[in-house]
Amino acid sequence: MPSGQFLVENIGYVIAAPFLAGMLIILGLWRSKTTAMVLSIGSITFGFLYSIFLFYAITQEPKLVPWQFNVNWLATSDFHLSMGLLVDNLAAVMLLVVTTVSLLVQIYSHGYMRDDPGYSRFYAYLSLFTGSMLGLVVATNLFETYFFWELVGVCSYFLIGFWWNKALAAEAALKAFFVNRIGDCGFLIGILLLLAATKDVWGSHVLLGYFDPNGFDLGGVIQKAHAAGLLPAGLLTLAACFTLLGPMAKSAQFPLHVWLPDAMEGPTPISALIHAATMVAAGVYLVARAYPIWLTPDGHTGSVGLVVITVIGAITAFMAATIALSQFDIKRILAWSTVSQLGYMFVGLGTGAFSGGIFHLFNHAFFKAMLFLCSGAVIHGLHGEQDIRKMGGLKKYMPITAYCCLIGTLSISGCPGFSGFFSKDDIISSACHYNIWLGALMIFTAFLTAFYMFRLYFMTFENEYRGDAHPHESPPVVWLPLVVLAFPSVLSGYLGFNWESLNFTSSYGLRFDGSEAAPLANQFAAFIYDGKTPHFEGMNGLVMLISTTAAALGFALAWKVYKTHTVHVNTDIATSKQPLIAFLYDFSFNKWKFDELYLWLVNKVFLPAFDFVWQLIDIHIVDKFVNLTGTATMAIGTLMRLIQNGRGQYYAMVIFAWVAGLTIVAYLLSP
Amino acid sequence: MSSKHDSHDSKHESADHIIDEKSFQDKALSALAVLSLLALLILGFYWQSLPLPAVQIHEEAEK
Repeated sequence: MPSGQFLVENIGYVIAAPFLAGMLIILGLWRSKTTAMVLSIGSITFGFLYSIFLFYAITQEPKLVPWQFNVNWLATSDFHLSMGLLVDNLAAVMLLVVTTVSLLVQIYSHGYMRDDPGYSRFYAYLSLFTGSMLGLVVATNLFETYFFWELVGVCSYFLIGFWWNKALAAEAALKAFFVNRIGDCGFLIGILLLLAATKDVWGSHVLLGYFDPNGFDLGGVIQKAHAAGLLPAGLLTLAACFTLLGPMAKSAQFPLHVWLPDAMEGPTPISALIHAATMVAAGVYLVARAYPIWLTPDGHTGSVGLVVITVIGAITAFMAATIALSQFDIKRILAWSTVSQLGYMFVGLGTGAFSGGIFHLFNHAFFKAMLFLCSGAVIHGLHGEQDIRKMGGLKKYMPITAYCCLIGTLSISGCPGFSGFFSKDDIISSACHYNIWLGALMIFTAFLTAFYMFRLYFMTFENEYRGDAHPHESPPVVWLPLVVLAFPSVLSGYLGFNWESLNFTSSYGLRFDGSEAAPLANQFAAFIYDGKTPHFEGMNGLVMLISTTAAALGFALAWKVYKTHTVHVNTDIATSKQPLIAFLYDFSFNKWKFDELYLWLVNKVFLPAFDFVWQLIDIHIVDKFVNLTGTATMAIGTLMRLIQNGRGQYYAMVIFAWVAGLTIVAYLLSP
Repeated sequence: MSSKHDSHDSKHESADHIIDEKSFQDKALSALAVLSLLALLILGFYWQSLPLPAVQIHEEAEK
């Protein structure tokens, strides 16, 4: 086995391999489907094995990391931008997540996309996306992150619109592109604000870098710039809020969440890989990676930036959960649940549960990828049907998919013993510690989560089959990735839990008071914690009991409603004679009317505003100035035409007049 | 007649060849999925077995 140092220093090959595979497929190898598949899966298998060995090496020799390598990317007289590779514990965990999910999704895709004419193109895009995502994970500074950020965005655009001949897919791709550009524009403004305020402090160090052994990293430089009076707290808050627009759009947070459910028009493996496990989590990853931006200038919590993250996360988690309650498209229900869970992660990071937020990202990647792959297996087995009203009783026809979906449902609902339970409770405890009403909202959202997820499960797999297709279980190459992902969907949670630390009698069972050295609560936090990041370990026995009870109530209600009454309940609620109930159902079903609101804003506010600006500047200023130039030229020409008429006698007369005139003047002026 | 038979046989062989190749690919990828599960399980149990380091944690008092 290669040495740890060798593994760390050659991490670049893990990023280069999928890029190379993608480029080779695009440049000609797409003609052979087998070659395209082998290249793509081969490159990600290499990355997967490499990530495992790297993780092992880091745990054996912790001093190997953080390690970074940079090259000059762009140099100006004022500053130079770098591009490089950063390996640390956080990156190692993300490498594991991305390569694992990508490998399993690519195996699944072989069965799922087998008959698609764009099979090779699909693998090319998958490889390019994986390379971009891995590049984003090991980026050393904000500019490099932005570079890969845009690359994953472009890949996402290509993959949402993979079936571009479907109008809905093309529109969804465009919508995702526009919404993400809004976020990215804010992200870039935030970066530039930070750069403008701190560029004199960085010296020769990596500009806006995440790590520096001498303290010239984001956190250190922000502190130095603040101390030197270059970066007032208000400016940092402004930069933090602008920068946050990027993660908000990428992680589909309110109010930039509208693109993600529509992105489900893409192939299901893409929904699993990009729009559930990896790219949408990139926003959460960036917040964690560049955490000092959202802290106070001296590196503490209690900042406006963290409050904004918390509020946005809480609104998103609750809003998306209420919308998921009434949807019928199996993939869109899962998409809304993704939006909601990303909101939980934001709440975790915002309330100081740094490892809790990342831990939920880690667990969520496995169980949500599995749930999406389950939905793909169902859609595949029903020949394209996505409406859960036309499903039911599928457990009999596709038992493996049903049990995997049940495991995922239990996990996301926070059932004790499943991975989602551990990370979600960490976040809920932190939210309760932060603000009791915020905690209550998160617990209520956990109740809604259990309800809508079991609604999905019961309507899809229980009772009698209501459709007219011939359901069948998928081939092993499709269901095996589900089974593989089912294991971490249960077991990964135990990495973030330590039974010995559980203390039901204390207000906060696993809380560290900071006054004395204590062992970290669990393996995950111990690995992620960098010794500097504000940290809250707050898995609380009481909160755990309450949130579990809430989830159990959600399950019981879903059982009562959908196991026994099936689909008629929705029609009954929608046509309820109680106006409030009918209104709430309509509000949920129409996704809080955000699409209508944005359409109204575009048609009634933005387009008229643009029209006004266009009229004012283009028509009344620019056009008139251009026209004035033309008119003036014409007037001068007309005048000149009177003088320059081309007749020799006229010119002779003018010359004579000048000579005569000058002679008279000379005579008069002579002494 | 004979040439028709030959043509039919060759098509049949070609189809068999494609099915064999697909079957082989499916089996290989299934085996890869199982191996990845094994790798993940080993990694998970290894991670869980690591000793917990004693690290000073400073919980933020500010909100």
